[in-house]
Amino acid sequence: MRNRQATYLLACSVYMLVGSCYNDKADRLYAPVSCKADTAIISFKNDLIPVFTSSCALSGCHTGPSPEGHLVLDSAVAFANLSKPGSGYIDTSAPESSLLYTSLLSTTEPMPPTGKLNDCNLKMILKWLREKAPDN
Amino acid sequence: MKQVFMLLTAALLVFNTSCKKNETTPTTTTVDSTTLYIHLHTNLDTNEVEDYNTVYEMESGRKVSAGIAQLYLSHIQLIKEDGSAYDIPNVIVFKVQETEPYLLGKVPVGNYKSVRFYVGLDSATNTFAATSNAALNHSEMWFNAAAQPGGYVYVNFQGKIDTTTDGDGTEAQMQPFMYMLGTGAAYKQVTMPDHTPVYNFTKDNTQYIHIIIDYAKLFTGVPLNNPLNLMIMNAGANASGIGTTVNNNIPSMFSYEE
Repeated sequence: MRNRQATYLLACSVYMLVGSCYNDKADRLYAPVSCKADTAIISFKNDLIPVFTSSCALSGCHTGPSPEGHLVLDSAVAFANLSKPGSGYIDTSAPESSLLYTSLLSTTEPMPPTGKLNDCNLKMILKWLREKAPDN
Repeated sequence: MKQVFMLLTAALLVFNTSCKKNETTPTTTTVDSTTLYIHLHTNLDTNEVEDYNTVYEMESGRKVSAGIAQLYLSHIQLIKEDGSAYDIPNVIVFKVQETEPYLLGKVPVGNYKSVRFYVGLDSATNTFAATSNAALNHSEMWFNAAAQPGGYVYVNFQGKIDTTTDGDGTEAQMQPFMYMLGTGAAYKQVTMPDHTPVYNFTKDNTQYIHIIIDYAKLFTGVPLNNPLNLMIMNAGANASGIGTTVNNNIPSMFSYEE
């Protein structure tokens, strides 16, 4: 009898623990993984070039003699090509409307086609645009 | 003991129904529009024109350069999946070589399969004073010294082209051409093909429609070895045989950027 009572008490305790007081906004409970965009100025060379190199300037995409969208994002020329006057890739007066940024959020023809960049990379690119897109 | 169990069960029930902080995001009014741009590239055949007066070689081998390549777009519509159209109000796009993005304004969210527009200006707008709209106030787009009378040039395409029969001439053999296309003869509606995938415009997510304008298409069917075929410089010339040929090529200039 005592064993049964103990078991019942234990079961109740477990049930209470599992079913009680939860907050579905887990991001407020758990410390988020830090993103450089939250704390520091973004460097085009050190922060964004690695993103373009690994996700954009790939064979068949934004590299080579016939790049997609006529845009080469190899490290040596990425800044010059993105900042070309009149191209619209960078719009420091309306950073969220920059073609560079909107392409990455497009639901029609998402970039990269293989899958959206992670949130931190997107935040870094937007922050760099908001910081007037320096050649840094 | 029974009372303890009843108390415990009651406590269980209380816990199960309380202390549940389900923080749903407050409902906000849905914004049913987004910002739309049209992104226009200036091409000569497969070559994007990076600079005026640079000589490019078309796929046929014929050399061509542009000294000016500008045009007007107006009455732009988005075509929905069901075939109905949304008119984008009050927009005249003055496309110049050095600028690619043009703001069309706020459009309703949703799926659109295509875009339709006119090259040029409707007959009423063609009589407006140049100062009535910033897009019109460009003297290179007037047939005369002033915009009125005479109206506007809808497509201004000038440069040099290899006019040799086989299209294998040197740069020195290139001849000047001047196509100032306007009047009703050049006012052409362009309905772009259905885009794959359909354009999916979502709330507050700025969107772009990408189009290539291939000015070299204007030469289709034009015997280049006749100098008279290289000059369309006034309203009257637009009504000529060669003017009709060139103006009829206008819709073929436009394609989606792949």
